[in-house]
Amino acid sequence: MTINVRQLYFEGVKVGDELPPLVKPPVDRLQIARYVGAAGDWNPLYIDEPHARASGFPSAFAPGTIGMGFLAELATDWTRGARLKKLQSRLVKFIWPGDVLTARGRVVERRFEPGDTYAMDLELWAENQRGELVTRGLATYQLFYSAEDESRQRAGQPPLHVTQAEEEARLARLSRAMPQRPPQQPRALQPARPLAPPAPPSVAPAAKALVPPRPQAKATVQSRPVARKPAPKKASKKKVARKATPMKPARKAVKEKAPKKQPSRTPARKAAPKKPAKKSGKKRK
Amino acid sequence: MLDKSLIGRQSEPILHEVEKGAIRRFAEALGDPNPLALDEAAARAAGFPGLVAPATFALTLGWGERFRHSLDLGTRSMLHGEQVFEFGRPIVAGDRLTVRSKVADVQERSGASGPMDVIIIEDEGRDEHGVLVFRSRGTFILRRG
Repeated sequence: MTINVRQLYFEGVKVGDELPPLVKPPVDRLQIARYVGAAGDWNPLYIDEPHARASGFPSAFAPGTIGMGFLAELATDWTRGARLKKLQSRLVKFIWPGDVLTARGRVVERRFEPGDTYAMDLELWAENQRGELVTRGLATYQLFYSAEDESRQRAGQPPLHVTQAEEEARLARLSRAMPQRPPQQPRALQPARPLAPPAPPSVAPAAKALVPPRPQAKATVQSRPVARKPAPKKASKKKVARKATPMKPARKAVKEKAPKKQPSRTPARKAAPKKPAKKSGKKRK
Repeated sequence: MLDKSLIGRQSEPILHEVEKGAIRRFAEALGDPNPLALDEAAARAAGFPGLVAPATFALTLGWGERFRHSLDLGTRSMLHGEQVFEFGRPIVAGDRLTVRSKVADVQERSGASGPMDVIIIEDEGRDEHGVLVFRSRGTFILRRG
């Protein structure tokens, strides 16, 4: 015997919550016969192969409601302790013998209803091994708000009264009480810069044409072309020439803009490694 | 074309005694391992007087052969297109439910293989106190030719 320890409460449900998919064993002819008998649905198309063929079907097939039963199984298992109010289903495609159905679902709505009742809607669907949508459904459940609500009602007391505003206020208090990881995640996305040093030739013209991108072009192109202008004064000509050749176009482009702002900064940086400690004083000017 | 005059046709009330064996067989046929439908002790522990029927078990209580035959729908293939259940409470073994069925609508729809007749059947199950336990609405498609 299994005891249902897990209960689903309204306070623990969010719109968008997904149910773990339920993969059923193949719907074989044995199961079809069993189901037809248990459901008392004696449509000959389900069990009489010659009849089904004579009626223009490729073979006998399973009752569409078997797919609906799988949706209900999935939903019932997930919503333990909740009460099913409504189950709607559309039997979209035939279920053929041997089909493997996977039932899936998610929470699509959550409602505070009059009379202190709490409800949610689950969207449910089943697809076959070919990825085709076979059965589509919607289930509406009524839930206890929380364990406290349940124990009150089981003791014959009126249900717990919680309004949406109260719930939101409580959640807001909780989130303030627990300051959550101050370094926020967007920061993790920034390292894009080192990963993508764009080719200078293409960046430079863009910098020329558009005003806003200028700072970008500066940042990426900076190290090379900028260094070249001030460099000739202090560094050896050989080095400049070597570096310059592959980047000629970039250099031209940057020349026009860069000199105004950058010369003071860049020589300090580039020159420093070349002529170490001695000249550092000069450059700070 | 189905006769529109079928709309509103009602069945006799039929008394269904919900048996635990029937609930168990239905759950087993679906391959549904829910202990509430298979194990009486589990159902009692959860506060129910007996085995709890899976949601779609209500299908077994819907329109019966007799009502179907009384509608004289002929020998055409019938396909189940849509199904809706509403529950006042779960159906439990030992329930004595009186079920009434009626033809809610007759329509003509155009399908991939030409026009189809559609018949919508509603069932309603009440317990001995007249309390609504379930309501069901099935849409059935009758192929032509």
